[in-house]
Amino acid sequence: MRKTNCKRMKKVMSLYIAGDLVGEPEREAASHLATCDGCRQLASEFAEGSSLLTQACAQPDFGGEFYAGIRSAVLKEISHYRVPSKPSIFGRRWLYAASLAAAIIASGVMLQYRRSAPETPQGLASNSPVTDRPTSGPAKGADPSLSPQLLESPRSSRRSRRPAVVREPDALNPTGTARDDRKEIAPAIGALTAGGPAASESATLSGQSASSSSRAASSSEVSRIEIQTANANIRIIWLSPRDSRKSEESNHDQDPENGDRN
Amino acid sequence: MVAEMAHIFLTDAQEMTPSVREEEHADYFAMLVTRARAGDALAFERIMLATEQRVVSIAWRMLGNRDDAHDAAQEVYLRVFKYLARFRAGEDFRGWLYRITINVCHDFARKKRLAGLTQFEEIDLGQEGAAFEAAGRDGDPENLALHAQQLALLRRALQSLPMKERAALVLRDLEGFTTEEVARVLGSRPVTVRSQVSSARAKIKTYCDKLLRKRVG
Repeated sequence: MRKTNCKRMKKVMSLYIAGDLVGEPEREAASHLATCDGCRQLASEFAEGSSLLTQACAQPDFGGEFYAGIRSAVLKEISHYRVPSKPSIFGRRWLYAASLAAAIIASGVMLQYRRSAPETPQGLASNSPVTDRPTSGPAKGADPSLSPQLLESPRSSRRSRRPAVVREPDALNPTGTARDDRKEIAPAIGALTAGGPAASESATLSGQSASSSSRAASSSEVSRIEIQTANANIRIIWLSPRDSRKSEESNHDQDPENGDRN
Repeated sequence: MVAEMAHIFLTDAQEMTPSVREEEHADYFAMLVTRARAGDALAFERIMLATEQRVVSIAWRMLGNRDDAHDAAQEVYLRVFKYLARFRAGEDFRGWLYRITINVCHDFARKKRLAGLTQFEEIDLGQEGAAFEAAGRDGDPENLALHAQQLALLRRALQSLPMKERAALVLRDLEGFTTEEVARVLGSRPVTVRSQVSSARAKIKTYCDKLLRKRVG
């Protein structure tokens, strides 16, 4: 029991000597020291050591010149620059933070753009000999009297510089697959290919739907999209009037006549 | 009130030393810092005048020699000036200043270690004279020599401590800060400081005991 107390006492001896022990630990230490000669001896050594350390490290008088030297050197040094009153907004840390924020925003915008762009039709993308170009001449089987000027729209010529399929799959169907539309498009293709010179020039594209032909008649510009499907024998050609694109999109389901199939 | 105090203190920097109460010290330093931030070199000089003795004292005790203490004090004030804009209003200026002092001393000690200079070789022995004088009052030359040896030994023991323990011991035992004040300066908890100080004292005692035993043997 006494040994345990001595062990504990050794650990807290320096704290007791410096007055860092308070309350119960201090009382306990004091009562132990009163009864233990060994610990009392240790306590006196610690006290002597502490006193000697204070003596050993007593600060010498460096003299006024010593301090004046420090002051003048510092004042000379700081006269070259001013203290910024606030951390600069263009500080390096801010610059890093701003760059990071800009990068995050840019990647967010890119992601949003990619999501909003329609997906490439699966089966068609692999071969991708897909063109979205304004027809430079009459479509195969279409009225040869149709001039390139009539067929080419300003919008389509502008678009032709960009990748085609990404922009126009809604012309096939809104879901981006050509699968079911082929059947629907087929009669229209037939009409187009069979129309030939007999087709009315004013109608531009003769379809099965009267409404669509009248709409086509009102528009004098047509753009042509050719899509080579996975099957080499099947090519989808889409001709659409350009100036009423929106309304055409909304009526797309009822108006699938503007296609061709080889 | 602050303006009045500024006038009183700035007319005579010597008046504001220990007699001025703590909160007045804090207001005084806050005002000086504000002015120094605005580019007032005189205010910064006042800050140096008011604190240089303590800064040099800490640096000398931490580094063990006069030249290093001089360079360290200079570096401390340059850092203070550089980072004055980061000092937050309401914070204890002197605590902040002493923390910078301790950090500068750490850097100096690290550089010396990297340069291969052992601190024992560098220890300032200019204090031996003062020790001799103190012991010489007894008149016994043998006692005088022994006492001087003991003091030199203790200084070496202090320099042999790890930096954190040395900082805690210097601030607590030699500079007379309370444990809580030391904790604030070092950015740690009082219980940690107590532990560091206790460990440092024990190590110094062990170091001295070992050397003395060697010499006797």
